[in-house]
Amino acid sequence: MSMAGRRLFGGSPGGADGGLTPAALSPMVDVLTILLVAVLRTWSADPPFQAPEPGFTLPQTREEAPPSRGVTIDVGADGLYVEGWRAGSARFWADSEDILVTDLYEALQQRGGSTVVIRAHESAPWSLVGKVLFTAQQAGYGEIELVAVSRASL
Amino acid sequence: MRRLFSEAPAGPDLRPALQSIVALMVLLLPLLLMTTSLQKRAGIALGVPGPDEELPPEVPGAVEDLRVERQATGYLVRASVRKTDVVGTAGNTEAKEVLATDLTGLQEVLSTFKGLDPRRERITLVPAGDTPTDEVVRWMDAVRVGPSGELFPKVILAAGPRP
Repeated sequence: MSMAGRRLFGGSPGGADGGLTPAALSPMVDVLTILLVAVLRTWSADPPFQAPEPGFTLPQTREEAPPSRGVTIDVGADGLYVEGWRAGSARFWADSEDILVTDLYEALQQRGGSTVVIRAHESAPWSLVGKVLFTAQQAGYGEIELVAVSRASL
Repeated sequence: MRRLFSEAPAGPDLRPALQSIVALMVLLLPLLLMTTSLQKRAGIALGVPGPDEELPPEVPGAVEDLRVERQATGYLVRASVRKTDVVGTAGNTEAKEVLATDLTGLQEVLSTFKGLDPRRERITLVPAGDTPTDEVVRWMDAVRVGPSGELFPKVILAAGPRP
């Protein structure tokens, strides 16, 4: 039997410390530090994102500032949602000639506030997102943000 | 008599300290991975006035109005540039139109206007009706920061009725 076979669970030949020399530990500390920094860069106290519809994907951006807190409007492929509650049909309002989305306008006026956060599906057409933006303006929301996934994500 | 090539005295044993750091990391990493989402969300503020408000005026400069329209052939930059640098000649402008075929070309055009008016920060984007949201976001990123530095960080999306 070879020496390596006999010493399956034995210590390293270097001594009784199991090979944990500073030279061996330093790269491990480096790797863990890099991992920790990478995780901390993407760490957020926000609750996890719950898509209102299956297949809902946010666009990507170079921005890194976290989104503000406010009334959330989701613009999906099928529907428009305010705080997770369906407020209207996306297809109907995308094709409609009206600029003001009345379903959304009423829901937004009931909520009140000054900040609105729009989470639009990446393929939602501007003909719909623009109307949502305009409706939020008309409902009295002065601060409007568009939410996207930061490219700093892991 | 001192030895010329004597061994350096053994330093303090670093292993306990390093093992403590590794142990701390091994505890912290799973904890963070369990409590965080690896998808970081970002908020892009849109400069939009309320129904009865107007945007505050820009610092007077050589470029009085700057907007980019999405067209089938590319990005059309429309700018109103003052004919002279005299402050009292506000409104005496020359309309300029430049078509950029892609975002890189658009950034080059906007760099030129930024060079004309370095203090200007505002730009208006006019997407087409069928422009998808991810393209609007990429467009906004491109007009904010170019390869040679900041361009126009305050982006206004034209969302109201078209004039």
